[in-house]
Amino acid sequence: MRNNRMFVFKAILWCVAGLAAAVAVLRFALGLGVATALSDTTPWGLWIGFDVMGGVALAAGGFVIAAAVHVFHRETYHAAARPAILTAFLGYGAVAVGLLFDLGLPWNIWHPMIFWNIHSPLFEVAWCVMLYLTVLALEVAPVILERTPFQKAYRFLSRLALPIMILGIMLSTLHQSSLGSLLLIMPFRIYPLWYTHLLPELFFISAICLGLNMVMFESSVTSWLYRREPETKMLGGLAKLASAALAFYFVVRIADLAYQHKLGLIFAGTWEGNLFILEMLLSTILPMVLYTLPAVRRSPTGLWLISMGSVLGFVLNRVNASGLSQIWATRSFYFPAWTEFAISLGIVSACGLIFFFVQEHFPVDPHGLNDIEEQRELADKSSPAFAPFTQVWLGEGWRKSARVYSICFVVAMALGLTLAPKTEPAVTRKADRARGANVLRVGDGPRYVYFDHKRHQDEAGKEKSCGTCHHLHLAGDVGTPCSECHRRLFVPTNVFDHDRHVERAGGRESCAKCHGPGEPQSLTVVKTCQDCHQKDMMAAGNTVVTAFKNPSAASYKDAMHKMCIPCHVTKAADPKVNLPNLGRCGACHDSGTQSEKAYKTEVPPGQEGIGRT
Amino acid sequence: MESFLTFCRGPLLLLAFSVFFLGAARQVALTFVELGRAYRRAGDQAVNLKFIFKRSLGWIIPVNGLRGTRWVYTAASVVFHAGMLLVPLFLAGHIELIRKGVGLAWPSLGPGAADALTLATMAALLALFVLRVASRASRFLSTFQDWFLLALCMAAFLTGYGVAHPLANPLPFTFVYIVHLLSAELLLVLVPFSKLGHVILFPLTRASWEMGWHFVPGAGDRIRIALGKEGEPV
Repeated sequence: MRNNRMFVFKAILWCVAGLAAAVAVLRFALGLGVATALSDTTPWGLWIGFDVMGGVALAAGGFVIAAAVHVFHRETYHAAARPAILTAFLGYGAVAVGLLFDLGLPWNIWHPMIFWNIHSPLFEVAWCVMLYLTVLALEVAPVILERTPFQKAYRFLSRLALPIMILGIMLSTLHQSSLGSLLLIMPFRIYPLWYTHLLPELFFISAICLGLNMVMFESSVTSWLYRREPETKMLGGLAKLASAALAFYFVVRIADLAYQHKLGLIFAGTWEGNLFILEMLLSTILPMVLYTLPAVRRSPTGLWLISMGSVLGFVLNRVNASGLSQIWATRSFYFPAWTEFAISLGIVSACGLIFFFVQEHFPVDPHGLNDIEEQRELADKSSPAFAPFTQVWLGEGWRKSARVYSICFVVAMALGLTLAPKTEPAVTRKADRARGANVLRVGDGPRYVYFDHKRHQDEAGKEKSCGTCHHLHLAGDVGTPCSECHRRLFVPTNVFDHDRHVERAGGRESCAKCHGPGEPQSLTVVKTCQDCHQKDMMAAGNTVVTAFKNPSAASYKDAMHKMCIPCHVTKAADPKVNLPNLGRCGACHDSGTQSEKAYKTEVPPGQEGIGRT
Repeated sequence: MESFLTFCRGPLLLLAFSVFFLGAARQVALTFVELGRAYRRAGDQAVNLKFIFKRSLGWIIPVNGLRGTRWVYTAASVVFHAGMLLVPLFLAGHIELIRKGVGLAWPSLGPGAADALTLATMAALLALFVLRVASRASRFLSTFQDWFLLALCMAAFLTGYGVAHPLANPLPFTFVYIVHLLSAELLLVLVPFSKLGHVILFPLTRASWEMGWHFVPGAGDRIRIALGKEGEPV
């Protein structure tokens, strides 16, 4: 009898992998703009939040179980050790592949090996991933080599197992926490409920909780798929451990929030507060409480459901910290394109398929293998089948499955190639993608001004209104961001590169081309930019800014104030607009006094004092 | 109608080509797997590749068939295959379509030659149909796909001629164009999943055939068991 459950599950995985393969082709052939909904304001999307952050977290089972078995000598969990390490290896492989997709220049992925930036947390992350992936490969290798002719290599690696294992635990500890350190540089972007100086420690502790849950989830799922007796005793023990670890995590996290006087934010009723409650309930509170009940620990279905919830909750934690909790600061709503989901799910599917393949062909699980071999023998003896349309002999056993799986893959990939977008969506014009399109940065500090680009565009007259504000462009550009010329906050910037113009115009003999023959060669006697750049820079006719003779751009503050305030004041006085506060400082700034803040509701309560000057 | 035509020329064509190429790759890969398995189980592992190559060539060049009893069928078949290969690949319109899509181009047939080949192919198709109906043995051996694929090829060529000669075509041009695209796309899609597979697999067919001769005596007994026809003469 064939295991239909497994067969259907694998067929679905092959379909998803096929879809992802098609998207992968287009992503590498046509670039990120086509395959993702990412922008300069939201450069981290699903691939970082789920694939990298979540992938690393999901791989935590490897080091947790390795530590339990080999350091603390809990032999009960020995059966889970090899699957857990295999999962960790595949998880980290997924991280590397996911990162390859997300990097704008993926062929530079090796750069951290040569070009050391020792001040960057990303440097630590890169090295940890590389080293730990190597260590995991060495840990998995004996499983593969055990029943092959390469016995010498197998014995060598087996003898090295303990030092490698300890190295793996060390690197994992470093890496889980360094993902937290990575987020420490964004105190003004991450919502206060997630931002804390304890991020590295919290990431590490939650990785332990997640690791235990992941091992339980994985063990339950494989038992169900292979129709095996679930290892209830081991799962019960893990549940107890997980409950204790979750309680510790819960206490640390809540105590940290209390210490920072942020507890009020949880129940503020904001989107972020509710997200936090959902995350904590799913990942921590529910499993922590339910795992203490003996009835739950004895029920395979219960453990399966709760551990899945906890795993999802912790992945949500990673997605929150690296993405969703930043929306309040960037004010740019990002929802992943379906192609991004396809890649993420495809990587997971590929990992699942490799996991099952290794599980079925190598002694990953000493109990499981016999069952699986038995099943394979049964499948080989089963009656043959022919394709209904062509009457082609479908073969038997795995070759028959291979025919079905390859059809799934091929059809899904063809569909993916057809459906996936081939051109960048029209809305991601340069103006909308420009950094700070929704948040105008003020200087280098945490100060910013919320600026709804689309709303201003709509108010001013949509597509044709660009020139109202974008009065001058870099040559050949459209919608050049303000900060390109108004580079400094309080000091004007000279934006005219005289040397370059002299060089391009033909050296010393060319003065007269701009300054006119016989005229004194000064700033006051010269052509304007538009005299030459009529085509590639915007004409001055339809803009609110008209003085271009001076090659120095006003300071950012002056430029913005002169640009925005007149319009805002006029609109505020207009009873039809009905926004009397529009002309006041607080309409744009939220870094000022309390009276200014009164006009802004978007600032989350409790945010005062964080990074504000 | 027009938007459906655009859909047929755009996404649907891409889908057909994707299925065709990916499906073809899949068939080749699976055939190699099967060949390897057959080779490992064969008693006599001295396989004569040169002989396989010669045989493959021999089956392409229809000298033997033309000397046989059904030489008309062979002749019609050769004409049909020549038209089937040359017209779709070397028609100026098709090349232009591909050049617009992916930027590749190659020399094309002149319009006169293309027309002549198309008409010859349709005549050959008719002859193949008549000969298949006329012979009792052929009729008995034919399955649904044998009839269906003949009709599909005919539809593709007939509508193709209609598209190339809009003035000689009594039906609405867009309709004929859509039928042409749909039938051709269906043909492409069916290549990896029907007897049309020989388009890709014919170099491997002789190899699998040859492998059969290398099995140990009595190897066929298991086939009888597998087919559930034990005790019956095969």
